[in-house]
Amino acid sequence: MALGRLSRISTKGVAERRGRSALTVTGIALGVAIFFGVSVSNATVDRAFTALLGSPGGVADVVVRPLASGSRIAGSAPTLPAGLVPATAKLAGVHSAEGLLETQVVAGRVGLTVDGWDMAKFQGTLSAGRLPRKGEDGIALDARESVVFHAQVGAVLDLRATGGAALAPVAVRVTGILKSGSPIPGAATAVAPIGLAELLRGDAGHPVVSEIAVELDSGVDIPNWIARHTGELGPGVALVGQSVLVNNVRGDSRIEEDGFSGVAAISLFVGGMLIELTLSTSVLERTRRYAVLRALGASRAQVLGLVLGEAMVLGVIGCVVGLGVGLGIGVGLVGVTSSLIGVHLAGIAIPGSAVALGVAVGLVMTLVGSLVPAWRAARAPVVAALREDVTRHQRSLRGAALGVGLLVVGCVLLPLSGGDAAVRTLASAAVLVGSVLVVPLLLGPVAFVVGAVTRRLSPGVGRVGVMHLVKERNRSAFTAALIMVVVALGVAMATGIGTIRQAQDRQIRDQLGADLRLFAAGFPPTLINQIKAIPGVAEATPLTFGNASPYLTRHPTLVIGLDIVDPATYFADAGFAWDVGSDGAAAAALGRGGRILLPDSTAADLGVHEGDQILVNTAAGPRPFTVAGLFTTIIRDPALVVSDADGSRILGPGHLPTEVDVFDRPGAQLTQVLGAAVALLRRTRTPYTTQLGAKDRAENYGYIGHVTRVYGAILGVALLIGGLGLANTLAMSVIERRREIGVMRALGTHRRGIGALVLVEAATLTGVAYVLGLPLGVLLGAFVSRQLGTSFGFTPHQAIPWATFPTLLAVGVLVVLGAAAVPAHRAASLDPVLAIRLE
Amino acid sequence: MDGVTLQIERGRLVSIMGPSGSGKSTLLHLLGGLDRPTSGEVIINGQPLSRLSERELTVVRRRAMGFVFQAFNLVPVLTVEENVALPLVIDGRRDSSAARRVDELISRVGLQHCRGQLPSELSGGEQQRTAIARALVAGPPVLLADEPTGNLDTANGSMILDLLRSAQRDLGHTIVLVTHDPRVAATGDEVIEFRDGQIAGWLDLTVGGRRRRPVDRIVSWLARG
Repeated sequence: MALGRLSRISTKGVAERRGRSALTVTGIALGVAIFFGVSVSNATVDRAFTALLGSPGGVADVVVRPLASGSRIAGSAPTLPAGLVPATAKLAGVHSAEGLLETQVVAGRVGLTVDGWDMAKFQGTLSAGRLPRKGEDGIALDARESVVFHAQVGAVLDLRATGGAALAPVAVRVTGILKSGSPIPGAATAVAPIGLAELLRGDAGHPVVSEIAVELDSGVDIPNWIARHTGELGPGVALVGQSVLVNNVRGDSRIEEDGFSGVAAISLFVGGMLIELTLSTSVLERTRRYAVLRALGASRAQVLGLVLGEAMVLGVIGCVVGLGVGLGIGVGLVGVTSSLIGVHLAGIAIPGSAVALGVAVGLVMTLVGSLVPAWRAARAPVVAALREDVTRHQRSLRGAALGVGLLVVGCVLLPLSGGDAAVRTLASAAVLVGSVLVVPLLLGPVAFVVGAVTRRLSPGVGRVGVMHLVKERNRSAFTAALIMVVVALGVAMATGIGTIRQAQDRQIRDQLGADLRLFAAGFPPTLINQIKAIPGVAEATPLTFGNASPYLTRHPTLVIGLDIVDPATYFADAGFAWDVGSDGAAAAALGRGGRILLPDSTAADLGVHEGDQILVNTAAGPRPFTVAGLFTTIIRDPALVVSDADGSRILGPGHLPTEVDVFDRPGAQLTQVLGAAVALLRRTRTPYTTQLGAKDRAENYGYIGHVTRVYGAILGVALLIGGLGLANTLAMSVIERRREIGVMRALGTHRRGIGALVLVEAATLTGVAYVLGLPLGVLLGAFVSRQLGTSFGFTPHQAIPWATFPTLLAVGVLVVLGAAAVPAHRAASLDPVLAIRLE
Repeated sequence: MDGVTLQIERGRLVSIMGPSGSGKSTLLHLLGGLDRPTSGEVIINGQPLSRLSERELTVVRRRAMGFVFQAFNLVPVLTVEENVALPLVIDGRRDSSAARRVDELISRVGLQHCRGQLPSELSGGEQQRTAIARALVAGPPVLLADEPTGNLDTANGSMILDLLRSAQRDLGHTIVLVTHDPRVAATGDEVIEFRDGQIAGWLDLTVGGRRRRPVDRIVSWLARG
């Protein structure tokens, strides 16, 4: 009961120092906001993929589909004979097998993907209307598309197939609106009777299906079933677990989620540091008050409770603010994730557990940040505290020794971590915490050196400012540590982005060198030769693609793409970003046949190296292929690479290349080459599309731009926090030294000189933080690079971001000026008479 | 402190005088249990403080001691009433008798008109009166005052000393008052002179039952060399 009334001191104390309370709330809100935002983003992505598995076509356990992939030309996707559907249904363990026919249409200028189903067996949830009946020219439209087309139940749309021969549009009535939508690009946005889909495709009378959705009997093990029945449905047919397909796409978003989660963890750390700093300052200011309470008979526990109580009040406020801001951050992150992985994410998921966890994180962060200041307040010797002599709590050498130990542990763990993210995270945390603990030990000597420069800002009083900083180690050290962490964060992020860009540049340079890319449903050999003969063309190399499928016999759950190249022409001007191997060796190896090139990440997952053999499913059964090289792929999905001869063995015969990469001669006019290629394709009545290589490369750079902007925003917030921490420290310094300032004024120092004193202190403190933060950032950058290499699947070559150092320095100057402005003005405005007084 | 042996009888007002650094405030802190002697013993009402744990000592301070500081040391975010009630709150006493006790002390020090005001809205004298009320509210037998008039003008200082004197005379509190001012020391029944951590002299102002010109007596006594 006593504490309940004493808590009034806590709640009133919050309003007593509004500025400092606001700083503490900011630190809490930052951590909660980013944590909650990331949780909301992750939950939204989870919900979208869970809905996918429950959506039309998602209820299947296995999908049967062609091995060969279509080109970018709409409607060019290979099909399977409709007779394969009953054949599939007869396989052991199959509960049901339904064929669907996918067709790409346009209504006006807007594209639509229509899945044709046997409507009697279709499972989907409608929000309005009904499913179209068999034989009816009707569709059920996805809710999202109904908005795009402004079409409700009863509306009529003129649908025209894209690609292939020109077909007359078909007037189709919207009979119903589907409730759930798939986030996967290219997934169905409408369903129709299969007969209508055939009509739209121009396949009426030639029953085909795009894929077969298979539901297995309960209790059937899906991977085993796939392994047993692969090949039974004929060559060129793939059996793929539905969940594997979904998780493949899900895996892309996990990279972003991992990155955001890492940023959330760092935000919690930085926010926690700010909380400790501001609460320490508050406790410092109230040292005598707590001593009086102890003199009046308050126990240590009661004083501890007072400080924690005030902290918790701020914690609750910070949580509320953080949740609100976090929702906005979550919306932003969902948008970024959606554009990064090319997946539509509708709506925002706000699970109650995320709210509860966000609040818990905020309160725990507050508690952790306030424990040390509260403990100090409770344990301060009463007599000394009454005289305010105990405020200079010096962090013991034990803390610095612990810090050194943690740094050593972290630096040892990093090279040993390999691909283990948990170990790497532990090492990062050890380095961060260790470096913070070591700052008090280094502050004095580093400040002495840095101060030799900064005190020249004000030759008269500059030395006083530097010496005060060196002596007031406790608060200065923690503030320097906070800014140091932020600087290190900036350097580490810049390193990570530089590493990605370097890998990306390498791949673009080595692999995406084509000047022009041509896409069609199929390029016959004669057409390829005609393209090669176009004036200005140095080389034209064909590519064929297989759908993401389980090509590797012993890894039925590994779904990966297949790229088929002509080794005689591909490596003349194109290649790969090699980690093991070279273009020449790969050309020779693929030319011999029975060789395969693997992405780095796939080889690491499989535990294989160059020269190892792996079994690949072919039309004639599993065949051994020798690994002839390992390459980095960061801007393309991982895919196996084989020669055209081996590709036919895997996909089956009769699959034409769907892409031709064209390399022009030096001095040739690309526009003329493009014009000639387009004319040729039109002449041969080949539906096509083109892509300029420069545009292709620019689009890939757009990805890294997204990542840079997100991390840059987070870094900006962290820098703001660092600046606020610095301002807090300087403000406290001015309060504590007001008598000293009054004496200096009495001795003849100008107001400007007093302001300069504060500025020198700020500049020295920030300088120390930079001197310590830059090498720490380079070290942390090694962690970031390795983690990015593991996530994206490439061998990182850490690039020290020298170019960002001047920018960071300029930002540091702004932070110093911004943080010192108000405290310097207040110090300069102090009345010497009032300042010299005892109270 | 160097070899100090001192006995203070119940109900007496003892003034401790001495220059800065003589140890008089240290003595006060030892008597109040805020500090522990490196050797020797402090006994309050027959209870040796050295045998008490930190927790027990805290309770002694709560119930057996009242403190008045030179700098008032009121909690700036609490009103006069809340500051006066603070020792009772710390002790967990929230019943009606506690509330009556607070009212009684506020009336005694003449601060009814500003019970709802914050310390920043009070004069120095009003703040020190609030501090005295706070020191007395728990009914401690011993009151320790460290330069209670140090930050006050003469008129307010006199008012504070009158309050302390009435607390001793009417309520029976034992008061130890630290000061460097002979006029303030003259309030007491006896004066102890401190110098360099030792008792340099002792003067009983009640000898003879008369208290005529105690200040002159103190001054001439101090000048004895």
